[in-house]
Amino acid sequence: MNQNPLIELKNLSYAYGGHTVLRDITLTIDKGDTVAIIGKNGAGKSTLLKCIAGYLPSAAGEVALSGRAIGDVSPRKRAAFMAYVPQLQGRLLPFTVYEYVMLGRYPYQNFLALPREEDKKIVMESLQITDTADFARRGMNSLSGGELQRVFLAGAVSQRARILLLDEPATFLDPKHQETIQRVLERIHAEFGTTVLTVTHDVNLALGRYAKVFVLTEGACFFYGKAEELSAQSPQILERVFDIPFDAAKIKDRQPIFIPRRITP
Amino acid sequence: MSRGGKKIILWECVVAVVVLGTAPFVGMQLISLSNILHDAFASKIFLFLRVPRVIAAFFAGGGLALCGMVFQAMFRNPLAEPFTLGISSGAAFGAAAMIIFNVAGTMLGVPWITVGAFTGAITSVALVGALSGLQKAATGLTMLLAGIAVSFMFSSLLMLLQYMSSMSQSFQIIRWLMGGIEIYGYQPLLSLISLEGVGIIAIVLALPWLDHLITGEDLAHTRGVNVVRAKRVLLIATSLVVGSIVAVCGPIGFIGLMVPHFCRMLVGASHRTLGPVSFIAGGVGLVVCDTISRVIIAPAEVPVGVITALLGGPFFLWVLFGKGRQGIGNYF
Repeated sequence: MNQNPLIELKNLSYAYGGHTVLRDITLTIDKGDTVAIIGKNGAGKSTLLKCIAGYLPSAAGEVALSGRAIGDVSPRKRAAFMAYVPQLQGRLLPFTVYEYVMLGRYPYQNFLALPREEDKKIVMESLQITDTADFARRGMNSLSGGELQRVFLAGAVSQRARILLLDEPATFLDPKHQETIQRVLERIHAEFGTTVLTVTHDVNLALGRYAKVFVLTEGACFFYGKAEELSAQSPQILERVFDIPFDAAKIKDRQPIFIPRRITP
Repeated sequence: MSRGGKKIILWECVVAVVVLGTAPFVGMQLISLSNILHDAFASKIFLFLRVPRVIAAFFAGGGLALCGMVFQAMFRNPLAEPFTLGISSGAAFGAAAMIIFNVAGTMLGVPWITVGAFTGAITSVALVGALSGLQKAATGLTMLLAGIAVSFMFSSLLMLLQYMSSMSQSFQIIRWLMGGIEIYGYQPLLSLISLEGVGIIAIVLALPWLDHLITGEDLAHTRGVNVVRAKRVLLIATSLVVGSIVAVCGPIGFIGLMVPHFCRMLVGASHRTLGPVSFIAGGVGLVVCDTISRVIIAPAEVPVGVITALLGGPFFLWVLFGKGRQGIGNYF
């Protein structure tokens, strides 16, 4: 039995063009965790996610996947270990939904990437769990934002990775589709035991629907722990993170939600 | 590969066989089967002029279309084409230098002009590749811009050469720049196909990477594609293909830009299908254009580059804007 945490960061720092984006981040993520990463714009959330994905190899410090340094893991092995859903804007997607989701099977295919029966089966499952099977034959360019985001999720699910990294998966969606995405994520987590790591701007989503929260301020770890702990210290702690006071509101028996206070000039 | 893709490839093969089978009979004068059998002169023209020329046109057109497709996916840019990285200006400069310094004759059976053009082509790509390699985070756009800069540098050098050259040399250079598939015998054909073949095999093996690269390098990386290696392999392979074509045929425009778009509209962007479809379509397209260029003002010939754009332009505009179509938006 492997006792190593799924992901372990040790003293991770990253600088870009003389500007430090991440400083000295140490973090462990265990199997089955759901972690939300929050912080101001420019705090380094997306960069942190890319470092974990191994996309920024010039970062200093260590990233280990199940105890192995990420640089020693082959690209396909790494892809079978974790999948990534980046931000969507400005991407070329000249594929049908089915073709796109099939791309997630690449780490398991031979050198010409010919789809095997098993791949087709897993693609169908991925389409079903994300409610996208109905438009599998449609072109990606004809989809609405909510549909497109679910297809992106399906493309990551078909990778059958143990970890999902998501970069603001619901930011540009309406409330209903935000909720749909979250439910799909929770379904994936429940069904496959997938570890979920999400960058989000939605503080209440992070506190209410994730087990743990990682708070970044100016590239450094400000808080990492159970969502309830952060919730208990809110709204005061949120002001220190976001530079704006928050009020707590209680609706019936739901847990409190936090709303930024309106600033009067 | 989708079933529709297989069907289209099958149809393309039928069309290719018909076109390649008839094209050598057509020319300044029609050659019939009985001519070939009974007329020694006609059979010589058929065997040593027309057949190798048709085969060369097919491989040149196919290679250009394939490389255009690779660059459009790799740089995620619908305007990318085989000559985007300055490969044609490099080749033109190399060829012009040979013309001006009067380097006649051959090296190992290959004309020096061809050698010069190939060297120039490879130099320009190597320059762009090395410059982008200096920067670890060089994106496709940086590379495109570097290619345009290198292209301008070679174009200016070419202009300088032309300025210094005599009238007849200058005309020779301009004629080279128009492109043309003037091949005699099988020696040049062999040198074209052997070099191009190596590149094409590499591209075929790399086709799955293109599906990932077109969605973005970050996604390709997390899907398990070795992005740095993929780009390097594709760059070397395409420069081999385009370099060998441009060295023999000059810079034939249009095919490499438009054929991949046309085929993408037909079969989608899954590159395992799009690759062969583009190659055959480009090959057939150039054979047709070359045949027209041989007969339209016979006994003279029109440079094939003129025909590809004159004929392909309106055709592609019709495809793009024809009734019920929505431009490129839905396909790229």
